[in-house]
Amino acid sequence: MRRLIPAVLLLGAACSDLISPTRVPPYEYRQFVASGGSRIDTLTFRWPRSFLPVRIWVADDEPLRQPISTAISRWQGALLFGEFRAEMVTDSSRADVIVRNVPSPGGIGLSRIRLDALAPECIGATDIRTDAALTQVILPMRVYIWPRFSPQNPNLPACYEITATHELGHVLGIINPNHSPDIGDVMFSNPVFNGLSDRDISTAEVVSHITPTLTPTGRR
Amino acid sequence: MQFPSLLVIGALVVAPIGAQTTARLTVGGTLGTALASDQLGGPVSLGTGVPVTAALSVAHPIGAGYRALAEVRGGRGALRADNNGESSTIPGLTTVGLMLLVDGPLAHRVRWELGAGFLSYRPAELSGAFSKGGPTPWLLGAGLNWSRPLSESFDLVANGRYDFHQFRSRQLDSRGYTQYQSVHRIGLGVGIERSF
Repeated sequence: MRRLIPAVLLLGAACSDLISPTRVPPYEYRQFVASGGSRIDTLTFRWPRSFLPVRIWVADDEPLRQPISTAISRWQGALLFGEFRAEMVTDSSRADVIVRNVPSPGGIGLSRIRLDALAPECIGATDIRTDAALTQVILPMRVYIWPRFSPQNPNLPACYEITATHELGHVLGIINPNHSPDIGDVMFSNPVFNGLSDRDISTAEVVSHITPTLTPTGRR
Repeated sequence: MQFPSLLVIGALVVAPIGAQTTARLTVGGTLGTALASDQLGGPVSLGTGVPVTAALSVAHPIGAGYRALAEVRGGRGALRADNNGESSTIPGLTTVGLMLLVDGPLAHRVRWELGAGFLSYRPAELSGAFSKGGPTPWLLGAGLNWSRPLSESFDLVANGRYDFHQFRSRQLDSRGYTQYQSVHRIGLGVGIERSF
């Protein structure tokens, strides 16, 4: 009988499977828009696998390079099965996402989704241009992150990190303009949490496996 | 530990090299089952595809037709992510396996081999399940080796290998995954064996 014990243990080891964790419920990630009369249209977006890695451009001399790099690492680490990958590119003409350290332009027009963030020391905005039929996202997406007050504010680097993570959450597909209702999430409208909460991760996982209504186009 | 270091250790294990000691180099491919899988709106999984594999081993007789082998087996390929029927690859996954084996005669020109060791996953890109690096699980393996003399000191060899290990990366661990994923692999290689 004792001779069988190693064989049984070996067989058990050879047949084991990973056991998934219990996940917290996600927050709302979709955008609802009026679609003629009283009808509401639901917009969802995620990057098709064929577009990975997403190309992100940040100017070399901008203070946003490191925060964007941190944000990329965070979201890539959150999605375990290669659902989202991004890389920094040196040529803005090839970029899917252009990040600038300037205030967002006014007047966003009709075919554009504007998603704002208002952290204590800095402001962020993501512009996602769509076609008139609301079926396509026209690349590149544009991310703006800029200081609210003095660029010399010592808390600005941390604010940039929070806001870069927040805006990249929009780029990833969390496009609900009302954001997360919980201050403990980086996708809260005025984010203060410097990281990804379990709800942020859970929401990103859901977003990354939907059948989206918006698909990207115009990649150069 | 770098690849050359493993080669040196492998060589030292069977020292002193003397008469009847052989060295074998094979090149081929390895097919493996998923490293991780889950249900996220449908089935998702992460695998290694079919990486190109090279194996270098040194064997020394230990009596009655049996030999002890030290082997370094390296694979270079890509991670393959399958998400609800949509696939993508994450380039640059290297595996380095170090095994100690025993082999013996089975039939004419065919020998069996059995051993254990470790397998190190070395991703080029720290993302997804490999965000915190790759694990180094233990490895059990068995195989068959066929050889045919080409000259006095060189043989043509073909090697078939089955091995299994348990996989869970630190990132999977930190995200609350428990237990381990059993990964079964089959490798085929052809090469040469030289007698010293």
